[in-house]
Order: sequence, then C-alpha cells, then structure tokens
Amino acid sequence: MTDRRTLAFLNAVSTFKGGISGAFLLLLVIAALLAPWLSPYPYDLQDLGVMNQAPSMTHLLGTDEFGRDVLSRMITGARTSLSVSITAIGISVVLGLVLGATCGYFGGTFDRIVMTVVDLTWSFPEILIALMLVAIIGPGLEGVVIAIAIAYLAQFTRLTRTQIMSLKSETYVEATVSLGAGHTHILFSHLLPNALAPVLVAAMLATGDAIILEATLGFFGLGAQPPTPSWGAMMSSGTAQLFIAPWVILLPGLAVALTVVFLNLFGDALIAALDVRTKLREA
Amino acid sequence: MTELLKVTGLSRRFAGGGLFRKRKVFHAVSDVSFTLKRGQILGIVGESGCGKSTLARLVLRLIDASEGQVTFDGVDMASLPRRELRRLRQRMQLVFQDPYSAIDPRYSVRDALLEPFKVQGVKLGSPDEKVASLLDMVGLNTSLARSYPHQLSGGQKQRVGIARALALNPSLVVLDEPTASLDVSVQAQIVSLLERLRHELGLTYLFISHDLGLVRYFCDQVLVMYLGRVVEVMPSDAEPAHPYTRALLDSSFEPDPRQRRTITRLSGEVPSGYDLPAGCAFANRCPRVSDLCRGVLAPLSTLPNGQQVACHNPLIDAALPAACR
Amino acid sequence: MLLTVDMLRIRFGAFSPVDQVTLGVDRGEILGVVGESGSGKSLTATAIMGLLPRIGGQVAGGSIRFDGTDLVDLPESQMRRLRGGRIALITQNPMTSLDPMMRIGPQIDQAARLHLGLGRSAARARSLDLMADLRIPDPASVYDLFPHQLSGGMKQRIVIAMALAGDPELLIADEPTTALDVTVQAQIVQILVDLVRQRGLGLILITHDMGVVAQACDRVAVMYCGRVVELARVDALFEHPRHPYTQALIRCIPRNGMARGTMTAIPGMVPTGMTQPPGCRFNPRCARVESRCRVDIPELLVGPSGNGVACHLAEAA
Repeated sequence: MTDRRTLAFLNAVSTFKGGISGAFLLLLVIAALLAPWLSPYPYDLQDLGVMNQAPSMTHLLGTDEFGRDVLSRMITGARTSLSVSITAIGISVVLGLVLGATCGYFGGTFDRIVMTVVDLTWSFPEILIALMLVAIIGPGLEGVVIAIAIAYLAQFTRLTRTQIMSLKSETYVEATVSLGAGHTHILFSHLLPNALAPVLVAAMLATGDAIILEATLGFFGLGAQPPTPSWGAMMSSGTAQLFIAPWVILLPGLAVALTVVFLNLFGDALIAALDVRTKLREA
Repeated sequence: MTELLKVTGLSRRFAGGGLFRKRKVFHAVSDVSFTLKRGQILGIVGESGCGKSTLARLVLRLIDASEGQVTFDGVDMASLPRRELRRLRQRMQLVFQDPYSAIDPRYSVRDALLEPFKVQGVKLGSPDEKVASLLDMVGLNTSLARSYPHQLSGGQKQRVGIARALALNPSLVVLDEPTASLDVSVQAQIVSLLERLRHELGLTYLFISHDLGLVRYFCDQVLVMYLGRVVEVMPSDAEPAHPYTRALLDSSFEPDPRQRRTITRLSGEVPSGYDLPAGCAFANRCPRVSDLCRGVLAPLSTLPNGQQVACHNPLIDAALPAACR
Repeated sequence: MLLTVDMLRIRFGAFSPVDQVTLGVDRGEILGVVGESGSGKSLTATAIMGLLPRIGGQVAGGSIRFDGTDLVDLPESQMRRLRGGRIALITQNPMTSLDPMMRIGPQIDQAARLHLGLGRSAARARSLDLMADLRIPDPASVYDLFPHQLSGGMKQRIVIAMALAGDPELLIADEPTTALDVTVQAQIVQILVDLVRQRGLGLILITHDMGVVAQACDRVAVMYCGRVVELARVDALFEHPRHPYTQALIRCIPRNGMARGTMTAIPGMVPTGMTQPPGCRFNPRCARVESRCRVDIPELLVGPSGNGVACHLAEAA
C-alpha cells in the first residue's frame, strides 16, 4: 500500500492540473524555506528615499510606504503564511484523528459529548471561532495557530469518526478480532492507516482555507506583529496607499489567491488519484 | 472421542425500531443447543436470515449472547476475562464467506499471514520460512507472499484466509460459507483442501452453508436452522424427519437429469424475525401442519434412531432404521 | 429453430471475450447455457438482446438469427421493437430490475402498453392475469404495492411477469435464481419450466448451477472462457460428457449419497482477461492435454443431431 499510495501521488502529479499546481506549490515552499537567501533585500530594511515606488529593475515588485522591498517582504511573508497554516492544520489533523478515532471506535457517552460540541462549533463560521479565540488568547502568531487549529478541529474529527465507523464493520477487522487482537492493534494496524488518505486530502484543501483565514486575521492586525511580514498584514498596511501604490495590496492578495487555487487544484488531483471522493462526501 | 464444543440454550436478540417507531425485538438466534466432538464436522444449514452466521459469531464470542452458554474444551467462554478470551482465540478460528474483504487491502499476503503471530505475541525464528510453509500447506506458490489481495483470484484469497486461520494451530475452525462466493470448480478445490487439512492437523470443523447437498457431502452431522431455531439435527446420510428439511432437500437439484424432481410447492411467506408466530415458525408453509403446530412450539426431541427433531408431526417412517418400520 | 447463434464473436476494443459461440433454441424448448465466471454466458445474452453497444462492445463476427431475421445488422429502431416484445430478458438481480419509486402493477403494464398497444385498463387486466398465472397470491392488492414491500422470490416473479407482459416468443433468463434461497429457487425454476411447456416459448436459461441444468433444460451449451466447448442434449451431456471440461465440471459437484473425499476438483484456475492460453483455453487444466491442444484452437463441430464438441480428442472420447 505504501507503494500504492506513492503511485497515487505520482498519478496525481502526472495529470495536467496536478503537475502545474504541484510545481507552483513546490516553488512556493522552496522560496519560503530559502527566504533569507532568496530575498534581494532584508525584509525590514527601510529606505525612506524610495517610498511607494512602482516595480522597477532595482525593486522588482516595487516598495511600500517605508521604502521596504515588496518582493522580499512577500517571500518572507510566504514563510509566515505557510508555516502558520501548515502548523495549524497539522495540529488540527492530529487532534482530529485522535478524537475522531476514539469517538468512532469506542462510541458511548464520550462520543456523544464530543459530537455535540463538534456539531455546535460547526454551526459557526471558522472566522468567527478564530476571532473569538484570538480575542481570548491575544494577538500574535501563536494565537493565530491555535485559533486556526481549533477552528478546523470539528471537520477532521467528524471525517475521521465517519471513516473509522465504516471501516469498523469491514470483514478484515472482524477477522483480526477473531485472531485475538486488542483495540490498539486494530486501531493502529487497520483502522487508522485505511482512514488516512481522505483525511490527508481534506487537510490539503483545508490548508488553502487556513491561508485565507491567516491573511484575514493578519489584515485585522491580529496575526504577525510588525515588522514581521505576512500576506494579510501587508495587505492591511497597503490599504492606505491603495491609490498611490496599488501593488502593495494587490500583489500579496494575488499570492494568497494563487496559492489557494493551486492547493485546491492539487487536492482535486489527489482526490481523483486516491479515489476518495465518495468517502469525503459521506462525511 | 471427547466434546470440544458444547452449546446450551444459546439465544441472541437485537433491538430494532427507533425514536418514532415502536421498539421491536429481532430474534436472530433462539435457544440453540448442540455438541461437537473433537475431530467431527458439524454442518449448520439454513436459508438466508435463519441465524446461522450469528450463531457462528456467538460460538466464537465475537458477539455476546443474550442467554445461554458456550463451553469450549471445558471452559465457559462467558466467564473468561477479555485478556484470556483473546488468548483463547488462537484455538478457535473463523474462515469467512467473502475472501475479497477478509484481508486488509493494504496488507501483502506475507503481512496477512504474519499478523496472527504479531497479535498473539508469538516470536518467530524465521518469519519467511513460516510464511512459505503456510502457503505450501494450502497449496499456494510461495512466490505469492509479496502479492496484495487485489492481485489474487477468489480461490487464492480463500486459501490465504484458510492459511491465516490455521497459522496458530487452532483446534476448532468455524467455516462461514467458505465456498459460497466461488466458482464450482474452485469450490471443489477448497472443499478438498479442507478435507486434507482436517486429516493432517486433526481439526474440528463447524461448517456453515446454505447448500444442503454440500453439507451432506462434507459433514458428519447436520444441524438445520429455520428462523433462529434448530429444527433438526441428524447424521448427514439420514433421511430428514422435519418437513422443512425435507423441503430443503427436495429443492436442491441433483446434477442428474434422471433424478428430476416434482417441486412440492411451499405456500406462504417466511415470517419476519421481528414477529415470530407463537407456535412453529414453519407452520404457515408446512404441508403436515396441524392445529397443535400453530399454538405450541415443538421441543427438540430425540427419535429412536438418535436423530433430533422439533416437530409435532415428523416424517417418522423416513427417520427410523429399516428394521423398525 | 427460433433462435440460432452461429460462430458469434464479441469484441471490446482489441479484446474478444467471446468467440466461437454457436447455439440454438426452438419453441417449447429450454436451452441451458452453463459456465463459470468469465465464460461469456452473460455477454452472449447481452449480444442477443442487441445491448452490447451500451456497454462499449460490438459483434465482430458470426450471426444471430431470430425467426429468420439476422439481428446483428438490424437497425436499432427495429431492434427496440423486438426487445421487451418478442424477445424478453430476465436478469439476475430482481432488486435492481424494479423501479423502487414505482408501484408494481404499472411496471408490469409497461411492456403490454408499449408492444401490444393495449390501453390502461386492458393492460391492467392482462397484468393481473399474468400475476395469477405465476401464482402470486392476491394479485389485485400486490398490483398496488411498492417493490420493497415484497420478498425476493416474489420480486423475481414480478420480474418474470414483466418479461411476459410483451408476449415474448423467446425468453432469456440470466441466472434468474442465483440471488434466491433454495426453496424459492426451486419454485422459480418450476414456474419457468411450466411457462415453456404451456406457452410454447423458447427459453435460454443461463446458469452456473449444473443441478438447475439437469432439472430444467432440454439441451445444454457448456461455455468456458468465451467459447462453447460442448453442445448436447441434457441426458447425453450428463451420461456421456464428451469435453474434458464438462466431464470435470460434473465430477466436482457433490451428489446425494456421495462419500466424503470422492469429489474431484479441477486443478488450476479460470484464466482471466488478457492471459488466455493459446490453443484450447482449457489446456492448462486438462488431464488429457496433448501438444496440439496448446497450439491449435479446436473447432466446435456440430453433428446433424445438434450435438457438438470443441476438443481435439473428442473422437477418442
């Protein structure tokens, strides 16, 4: 199956959609990782002599109201956006797997309580939950990570729970019980590995949403604190110069849009390759 | 010969209905008793919904009984704590009807065959040798060890299922319709394999099937179920004494045009397990029905020849040995 | 003959799952088509019904003659008039043949209204008669029920009634009893036999069950891996099977009174898809295989009696 999963991944990349989006995402990740070396200028270098300059050969994507290089800030901003959303979704997936598997496998009162909470949180938009949480925790990147993680927890808990519940009635699970296997073995050797594929695809799609959420919180000034750049914060500071230097707000916005579109496209390609469409719909 | 398995008064009910409907109780298995001697093959036969698969799972305590007792090799299964029950499972194994879904699609044949040892915490000196000898035992090429289930044919998968069940040297193997989803020619292969393994390993089988012809060929004793109850227990070469067994036998066609049957039509529909009649559940379809049958359930009683039947009007002549007629 | 299929070959792209299929059925006669999975017996039925294009296949050779007309080149508009009218199909799974959202009665009426041009009340009267013929208790109330309110056996009777509603001359039943319990299977087989005897229909009964063949059929076509390997009258087939596959198939079914251990299995397995062996497709599993069996494809030689066998060693058999 390791082979089959790798194969599915290769299949996804070999499609047009998967290939293009995969390449873009790969470049983005490399740029984020190598940000300090790739940026032409330090992201916080202020040069008040070149305020709000249009893109030129010296500043490829122009400068902002403090004369900082927009390209350098965007590359470093990619680092913030990606690390925040990936960390947050990562935490959310792990917690969701644990909660969902426990609920789906054992059921009972614990399941009923967790699912009631999940249903309740699901009736609020994620942004509202995140805003409330940031209000409690306070602004800053840690707060944003926790807020996004909790905002998406309901989705992963529910998806995992549905998966585990349907896998639980598979004949091979009964076969393993009849061999004398305990709960740990059944959960870790059969249920979780088989439940993983759709959860991972959902995580990929959720990462796109998380980038938007992070940008939104950043736009409200609740995320990265100056001078640390993030796409959302850059757009926020760019609003004042919208008519003087539109590139300061448009380019980070474009980066968010493109990243989200390509994440969704890649997720789609993975869905087709792993054939998990029906499982995602069930949940 | 000693008793390996003793089942007494075993019942299982499932709650049905729901919030807006009247709560109903489904009687899947009702008051089933039998014994199985070491080295014997007992066939359990019945049509869909008669409770034979539920009975198999009750015997193995994969589901818990509502009432009754299962004694395996002198041990009352219900009294065992979970941990010891799990240990005991190595001595009683199950082979499934559908070999397609009985193996985790992510597991290679090797993984599937080593899983029993992993689960029971048995350390193997040479896992590869063990896999090879298990494959060899069920007549599979040892090169299949690295294959995945989707690369195997139905017959091959069922052989892997059997090898897996026998890996831990069980005494009792419950076979739940092991050939029902296979082609005729493959069915014969699996049945021959099961025969050979029983001889070589001294196994005891509980063989569940809907095919009375196959059960009579393969088993020593036949237990016939109808809607959760035992209607007859007989040696496999005996003539049926219960009208239902008779009807079942008359409905299975011999592969011989000279033995064409006139079909005795069973009128009436099979009652639902939610709504069992007070008397014999077969009464509404039975050609020998009397008023007594509709009101009073006939207990399982033993005929002079040792055959057991739950019927007020059994086909006694057929069941008696020639000398007694 | 009502229907003659001669050297039929079916193609899906470059792949021919069925070829060399020759068989025939007359009015008042039951032809059994028997074979294991992958034998091509259902595809043959699909070809006769003219439904191959719908699943991406086509007839690539041979002929299908129904009452003098070759169905292979018949335009779809005329084929549609035959289908459900003079030729009707009963499928394996009664659960999927019935529309769950529609009451039983109107589903039976359809064919009579479409093919016989009957009005609503005439079709209804005819459906009620048919249901009574098939011994469906209380037809008038069953007429107004929905499929889920009926048992499996009752649903299969409804499917048979639907097939009969267009007053067919040829009925093709594809594993009509496989999904049913034994006691119900026996009754459905009996109903089909009675229909053929009383109405003079031709029936092609597709099955994997040699017991059903022995019980019901007059003549039998044995198929293996897409080819007819033997064609014979039912008594001859069971008494003197000529093809090694037929012989082996009969030996691997348990019979009444057979002692344990006397059943002989066919070694090996049915080859699938693209891995068909050259020559006779049964050669890797055949006990009497010779070198020419691995090279030359044996032809189905049909004698004047209508019996035939596709085996190089048939003369010696």
